[in-house]
Amino acid sequence: MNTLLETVEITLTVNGERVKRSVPARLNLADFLRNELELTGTHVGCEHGVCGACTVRVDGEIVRGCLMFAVQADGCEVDTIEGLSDSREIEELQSAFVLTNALQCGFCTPGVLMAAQALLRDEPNPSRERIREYLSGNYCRCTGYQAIVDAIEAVARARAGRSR
Amino acid sequence: MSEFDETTKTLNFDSPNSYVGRSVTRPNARRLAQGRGQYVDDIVLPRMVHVAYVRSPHAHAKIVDIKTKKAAAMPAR
Repeated sequence: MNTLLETVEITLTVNGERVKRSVPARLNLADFLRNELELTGTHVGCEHGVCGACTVRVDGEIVRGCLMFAVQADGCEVDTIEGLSDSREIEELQSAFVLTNALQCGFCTPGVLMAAQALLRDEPNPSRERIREYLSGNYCRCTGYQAIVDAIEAVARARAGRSR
Repeated sequence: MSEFDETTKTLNFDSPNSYVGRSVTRPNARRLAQGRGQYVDDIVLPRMVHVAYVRSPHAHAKIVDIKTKKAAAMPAR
């Protein structure tokens, strides 16, 4: 038996949609989302958990899509950049990113947005230092981090202003 | 001269020097921020194949033979 071709049946919820697929045991979650479900907004950069471009949400927590096997997501709720865009959950962050020009090529952006949303959910009013620290696992190779931190900070301040 | 059109809420960039001193938002930024850009790895073409490089394990050596028989026997897709 060829273990490389051995497939496992998994059922999971992706962006609120139930999906059932037969996948090779060694297929990682990022490749599963991209190749199997054609959700190419999740990007694969370094393939070893350093760059953060593949960041997705599994059962509410952000994870590296390249460091998790698709079979490990069996029975889980997975959210990708496409889901968060369609539900308008991160609309404010996206607008701030566009306004402050916090992206150039946009390759790292989906991962950065996933991380930023997780940060603001857990810590609604982070300092600039804290934002930088939280995003230390998301590499941007073109814009630099200044505008990204500006955008996230602006959203945090705007939300704090509204809730006051 | 002001290039901002109040009725359409747009800037007229065709007039001379209209870019100078202004932030110009990029038309594709919103799409990219939604993960809806298209990068080389996102492209799927009909009958597309992939290439895998096999690099020499030796720093300096003479290539005598490349054994392709096993690779050629693999299913194409």
